Amino acid sequence: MSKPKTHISVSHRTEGAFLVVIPHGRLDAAETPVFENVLATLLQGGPARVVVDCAGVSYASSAGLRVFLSLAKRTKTAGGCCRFARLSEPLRELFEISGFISVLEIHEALESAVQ
Amino acid sequence: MKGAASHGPRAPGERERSLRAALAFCLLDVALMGMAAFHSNSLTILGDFLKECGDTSAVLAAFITLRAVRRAPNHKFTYGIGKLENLVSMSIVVVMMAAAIAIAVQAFYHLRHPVTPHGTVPGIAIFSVYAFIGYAICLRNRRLLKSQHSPIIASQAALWFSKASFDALMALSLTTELLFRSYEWSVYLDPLASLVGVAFMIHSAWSIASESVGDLLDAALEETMQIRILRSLAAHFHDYDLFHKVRTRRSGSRIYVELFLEFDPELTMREVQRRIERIRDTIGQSIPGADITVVPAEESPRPPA
Repeated sequence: MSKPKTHISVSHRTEGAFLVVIPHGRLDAAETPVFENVLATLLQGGPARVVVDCAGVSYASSAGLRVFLSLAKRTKTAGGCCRFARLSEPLRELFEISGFISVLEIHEALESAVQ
Repeated sequence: MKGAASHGPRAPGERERSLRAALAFCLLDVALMGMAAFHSNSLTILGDFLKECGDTSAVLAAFITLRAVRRAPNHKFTYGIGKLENLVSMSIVVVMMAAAIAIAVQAFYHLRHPVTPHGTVPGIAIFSVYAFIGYAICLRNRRLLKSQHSPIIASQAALWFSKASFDALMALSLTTELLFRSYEWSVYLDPLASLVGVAFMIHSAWSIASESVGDLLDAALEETMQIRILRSLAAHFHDYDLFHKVRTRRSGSRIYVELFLEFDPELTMREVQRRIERIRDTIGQSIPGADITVVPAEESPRPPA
């Protein structure tokens, strides 16, 4: 039996006008600050158009969801935008429970998110 | 722009009534169990009598605490003295653990030096009635907990569940012992049943302690509550500009939620206040009785890496 992945890793790349952030792992209370710090560093340049590729996020606690909400607000207020693509099934469920599904921009595919 | 607003909780009359009933039963329990212990040489009954004495003092302490908590907050304890509930819950844990150790020590002694109990029929009757009443009180406390969080009521629910389970177990063990008294092994039923009862007590004590310690250390609210807060923030997504942080904690039965939000600086103070009211009302509906403070904040500078 394999142990669940406990550490978050975050990579990023640029696709057109979008910064694609790719977290991988569990966004729980312990790992979320790591993700938050990476985001803060990446977004230091000011307004940004961000796509979070969530395919590798197997779980998000309320701390992880808070970062998503905060990121969406930050980019929107700065004149950019934030899109969430390829939500895993557990994450989609959490987005539905928390009401994020109706206020955040969610895409099934990464290709459509970076359009 | 700086400023904050908050609103908060409700009357604990129901909790007091529940504890008063539990206390009356405990006093009756101690009197009857004392008589049964006096007329029997059963370790089970004697152990239970000692346990009842401890439980009665724990229920009394909880009752007095709830009355004291109702008077606060005052000028000295401006956040109230809700944490006193947690402290009393911890004292209940101590009482339960002390009783568990005392019973376990005697049970091990009687496993090594078995005795045949006599006069157990009154004990069986009393344990059966007590198990029934104990489960009834436990259910009542659990019903109360559904409408209002309270460390004292939570610990009372756990205490009464452990008491009722212990009593049911004792009635069963004494009955079995009585039915099979001609068998040699029946003398071991009494101490063995006591040890199973001890396991119940330790489990209940652990569940009370784990919750109370978290609250005493200002642990954040559990995930279900956090999701409710996030849901409210999502519902008001367009009312604020930035979401800096959320801080939550419990103090006894009180829940405190602090939200640090940034609003459009072009907005008037009146409009910001109106939006704060809306956000607070939504959270207040999803977490009834919570004391919610929305702080219009600017982002604090990030500490150097």
